[in-house]
Amino acid sequence: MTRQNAVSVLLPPGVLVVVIVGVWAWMSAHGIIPNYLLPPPLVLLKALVANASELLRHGTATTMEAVGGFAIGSLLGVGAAILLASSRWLRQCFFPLALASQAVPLAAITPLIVLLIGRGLPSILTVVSIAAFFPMLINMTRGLREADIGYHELLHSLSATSAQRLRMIELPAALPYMFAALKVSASAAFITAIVGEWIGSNVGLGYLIVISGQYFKIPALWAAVVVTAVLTLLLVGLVTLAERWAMPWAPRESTS
Amino acid sequence: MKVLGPIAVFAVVLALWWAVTALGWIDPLVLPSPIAVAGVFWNDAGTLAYNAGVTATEAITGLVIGNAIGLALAIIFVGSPTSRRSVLPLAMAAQSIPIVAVTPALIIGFGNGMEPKILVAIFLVFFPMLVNGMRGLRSADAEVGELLHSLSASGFQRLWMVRLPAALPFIFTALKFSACSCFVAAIVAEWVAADRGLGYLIVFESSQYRNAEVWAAVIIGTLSSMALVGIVVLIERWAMPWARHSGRPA
Repeated sequence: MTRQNAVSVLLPPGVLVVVIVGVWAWMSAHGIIPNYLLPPPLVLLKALVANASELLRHGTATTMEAVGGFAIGSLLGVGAAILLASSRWLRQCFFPLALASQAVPLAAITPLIVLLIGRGLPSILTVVSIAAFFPMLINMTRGLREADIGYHELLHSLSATSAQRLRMIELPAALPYMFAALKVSASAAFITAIVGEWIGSNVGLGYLIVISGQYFKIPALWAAVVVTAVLTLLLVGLVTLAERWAMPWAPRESTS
Repeated sequence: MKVLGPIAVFAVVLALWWAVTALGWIDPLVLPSPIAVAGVFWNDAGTLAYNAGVTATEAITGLVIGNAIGLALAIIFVGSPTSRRSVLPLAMAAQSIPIVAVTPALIIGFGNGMEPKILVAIFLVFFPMLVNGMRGLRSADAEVGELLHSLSASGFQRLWMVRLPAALPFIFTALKFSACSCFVAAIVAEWVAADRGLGYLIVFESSQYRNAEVWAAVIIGTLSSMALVGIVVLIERWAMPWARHSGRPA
């Protein structure tokens, strides 16, 4: 990215952020936004500093649930997709169910998981895994079957094994689909974990948010929300970096 | 054959569920038998229907308002490159912000009635529509735009005849996503504070260890959400009869 390019990409949203924060501070100072709903920017900043150790402790728990579930669900999704892609019979039985799962409000099944497994980290980990599993299963099953038929014929004529065909043709062809699924579940992982903590855990940022709300500690509540947002953006950013590294040939998304 | 496979899988899962509970392998306090859940549907039909109605009202109100605002702003912003370049990256980043997590603050501000739940649903569906709407409106064929320009069409005519039809697939992508997420928003917001709705029912019944009732409430929530997604898909087919209707790799 050239320097002029970077300026033209980063400047407009940067200016808008400054304007939004400015309007927010002005509206808070003049009582248009009530402080019990959203504290002014400076108070929020102070709450971030004052609650740093608590945020770190709860943030670590939530990060373990979110990133762990994200990793487990995505890996299982890839494995299941390789199975489904290899058998027409399995695909006919399970793929329509996987598609139907997209209409299921997955965060809302948390109470059932908590009933089955009990409160605490394993339940939340399971919910995040399930939420990451289905997008990966659907996308990878499509992606693995996108490979050019010509390559398949070439490897067949070289008497390649099916493992070689998977590694050399099908997996590379499925990479864009895999990263699309990873981005979807990366942006959902933390929020799923937090919502799960509302009814299934006594630790984590979600628990901190609910408890701060119950004690009317609104700046602390918003501080936890800000930390969640930053963690989510970090995870999505990491996935985007991994995508550029794994597929240097892919066009980058432009917003202009 | 197409429906037979999934139905067979579903029947096997249901039979296994029944078997493990009937043989006493799993404590009914952990997993109630499917017959007990079916009994709840029969006995508590009125309660379930009432609370599902409350949740559906919140979810659908949020869905309609959020998408209307999102589409309107997309139409406004797409016309000017400066606003587009400043708004679009922020709107994309805003999708990663845990809007549902703000619910406790909204409930302190607006009480524990329907309003905070509708607000959460609005926020949750607004950004996907804004992002998809802006992408879709810009995907219109430039030559068709030039043709309308040479026919001295008004800006409104260009929007109505060229840009909106081109944006339809993008708009329906956002709508399908939000048909499911507006139910998540309503149910999850009800967990925090509510005195009615499916989310309230779920939390209340689990505090009483009435697990069959919890299962029934979750299943009703899931079915309502799937029904709403189904309605959106039907509208999509009616609005875009030219589109391919299948997403399955056979």
